[in-house]
Amino acid sequence: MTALSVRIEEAPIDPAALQSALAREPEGTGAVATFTGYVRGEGLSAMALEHYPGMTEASIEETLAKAARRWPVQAAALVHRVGELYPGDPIVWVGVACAHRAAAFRACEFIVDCLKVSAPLWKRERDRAGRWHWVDARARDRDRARVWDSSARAAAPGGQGR
Amino acid sequence: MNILFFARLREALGADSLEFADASLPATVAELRKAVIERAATEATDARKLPEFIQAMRDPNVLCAVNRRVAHEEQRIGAGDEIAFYPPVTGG
Repeated sequence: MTALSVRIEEAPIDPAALQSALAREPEGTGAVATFTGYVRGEGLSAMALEHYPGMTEASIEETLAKAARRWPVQAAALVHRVGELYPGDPIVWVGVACAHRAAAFRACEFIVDCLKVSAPLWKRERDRAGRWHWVDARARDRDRARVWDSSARAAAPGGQGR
Repeated sequence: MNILFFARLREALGADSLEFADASLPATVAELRKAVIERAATEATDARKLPEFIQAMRDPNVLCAVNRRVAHEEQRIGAGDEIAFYPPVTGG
């Protein structure tokens, strides 16, 4: 049974505490890959994150479950902040525990790439003049996420990959 | 029932939901989009932002979720469904 955990929180993220909690859980873990995303300070003084309570969690749980079907994941956890954040704050943390590193690395990257394009979360940035702007979705995030679709086809037995 | 709106859509509408009587709920997502635009014309709180809201509701990149799953335009909807519209996501 794979342990999957999703939390959407206003409280600050503590990556070290999350990593040790994840590594403690499953027996046979030989590798934990983690990703921490931070608020960049380029031209902004604050960021605000909005989500769709209930659906955001469900969407991310589905992404973790997909990762666990694709790689031998022993445990995976994701914490995403909402509310007001400041440059340098961790905004998202993802951890994946596996027996070996290759699966842990790939599953972790897959989860972040899928989160970026599918989880209902929206950023607003406050510029140095104090004005709030919604952040536009980026085509390169969609392109990155699509790569996983084509690599799934290529890897599937009898798939269309060449 | 309440149709939910998030992020830019909520802000342009000036409200986080619009109430539809069960009997007046259209049959599909595509029809609901049109009905929402009609209702917004009378209920948007800031007339200057109404064109932005209407443009967004016509944008195929603005998604509809039915019962917390992304829905396609011809998906059938009914009373008791939880329905939301939202712009492209930007988390992570």
